[in-house]
Amino acid sequence: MITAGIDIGSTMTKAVILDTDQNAVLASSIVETGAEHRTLALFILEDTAKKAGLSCGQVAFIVGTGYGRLNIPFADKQITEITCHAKGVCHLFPQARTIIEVGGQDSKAIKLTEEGTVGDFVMNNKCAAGTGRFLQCVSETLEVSLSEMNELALRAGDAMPVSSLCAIFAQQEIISALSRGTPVEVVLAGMYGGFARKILTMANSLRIEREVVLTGGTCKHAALQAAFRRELGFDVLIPEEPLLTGALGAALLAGKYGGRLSREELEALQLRRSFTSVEIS
Amino acid sequence: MSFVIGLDIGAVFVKAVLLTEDGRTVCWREKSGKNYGETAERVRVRLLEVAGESTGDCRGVAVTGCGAGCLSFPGQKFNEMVCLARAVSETAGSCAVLDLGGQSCRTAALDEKGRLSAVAFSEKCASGSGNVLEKAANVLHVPFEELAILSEGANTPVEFTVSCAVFMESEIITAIANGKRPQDIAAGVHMAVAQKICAMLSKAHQEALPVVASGGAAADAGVIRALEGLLGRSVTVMNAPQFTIARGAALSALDQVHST
Repeated sequence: MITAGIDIGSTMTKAVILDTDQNAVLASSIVETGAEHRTLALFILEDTAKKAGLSCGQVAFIVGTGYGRLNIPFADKQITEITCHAKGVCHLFPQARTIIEVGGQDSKAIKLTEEGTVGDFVMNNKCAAGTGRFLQCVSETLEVSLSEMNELALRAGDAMPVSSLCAIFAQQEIISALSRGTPVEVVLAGMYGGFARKILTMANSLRIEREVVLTGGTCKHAALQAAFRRELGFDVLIPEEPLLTGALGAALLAGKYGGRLSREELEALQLRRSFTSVEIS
Repeated sequence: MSFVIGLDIGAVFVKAVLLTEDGRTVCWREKSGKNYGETAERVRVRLLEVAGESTGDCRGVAVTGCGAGCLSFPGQKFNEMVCLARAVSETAGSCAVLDLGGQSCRTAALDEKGRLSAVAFSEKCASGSGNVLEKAANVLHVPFEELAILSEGANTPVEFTVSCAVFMESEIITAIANGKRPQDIAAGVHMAVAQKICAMLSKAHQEALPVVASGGAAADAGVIRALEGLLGRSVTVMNAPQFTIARGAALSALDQVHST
């Protein structure tokens, strides 16, 4: 069966098309989330299907996830990103027990059971500290791109302790440090450390257990990965594409739910699903 | 004529107050920028120009604020709260002081002798500060000074669900996209900031005292109006509130001159 998972995040939208019989990802796409979720959802599905050499109509079951999951009019089921991330990560790393997900505007920690289901989770979407927005604020303050920030921090031999948790206060602390003549690499290395600590403080309420997997777009920063390793005192696992675990999990779950249906029921679903009736509200 | 200078190097503005021997006050402020030391020097030079005074007559420089350590010329460091108390006690008696800065908010109780107690800082979160107001003014395309006028025309203030200064900006943008009136958005922002400040005030157990507000954000009448509504009593705003701490620093420098 061909399934699709679409994950509409606050910053990025991700899609995965899966062949559940071969247990193989046929194609995936990542695009920026704009203001118009509905047209975007259709666009990314069409685009990903095309990459897989398919048409939208050949996809048997579609699961939507992420904060914009209710805006995917053609999805057959909506599942929270917590469940989808857990599913996707356990597929890639069966030994995983803790997921740390740092997105564009939120961060989560998910504790996994031995069976690979969600045991417990914590989430922050009320404060920019510990989310991708924090790094964006720093990047704007320093007028240094996110990728350059990452490289500078990796090059630092030393790290300045950054105590501010609040994104606004950290900006001030960084400017003060630069005004005093602290090299920018040293400031940035310290900033990544403080950022990782903030998230780990939240994650620790679940008692972090190995193996730990990092996901989410913000975790693509090698400097942040290094900071997590340093703060945890052990190695962490990172998917080849940390942005895609939610969409992958959604596609896998689509296989689970779609697999319960008969051929007739799946055909009926496809007839009911209309890809052209997407309205721009 | 001999004079003293008080400098308040804040995260958003560098404020300076010059006090002459015969009681004249001259103020100057500039955006702090990225190099506090350089900005402070520029502000000092400009302040002297505006006042028509020369460096040779300077009897003392007092410096305070988060960037006090970055001063490139001689100056004596003072604690911000000490400066705040010094300036407020000049005009007010026993009161609750509320300093609404560009990024932080501070509250304290001040007795009739100008002594401080129950000092509280918003050190972990910038949500109850001028930063939110500045962001709101930017997104609504009005000067900071006009935010209060805008919110006066509100019918139903927008209720904001987050308080984080960074996420608030996104919420304001969403509210605009959803067709909310700028007046209602401005009033909603004022209410959200006032609620944060109120929570801090009540933590410091200062319910019984008259409230005196200082700091750049206190210049926004909209916040003061919302605050008065929540507190159920009037709030007195210092004259040129953004210069209160710098004035306190200058007064402290003057005290030093008089004591030697």
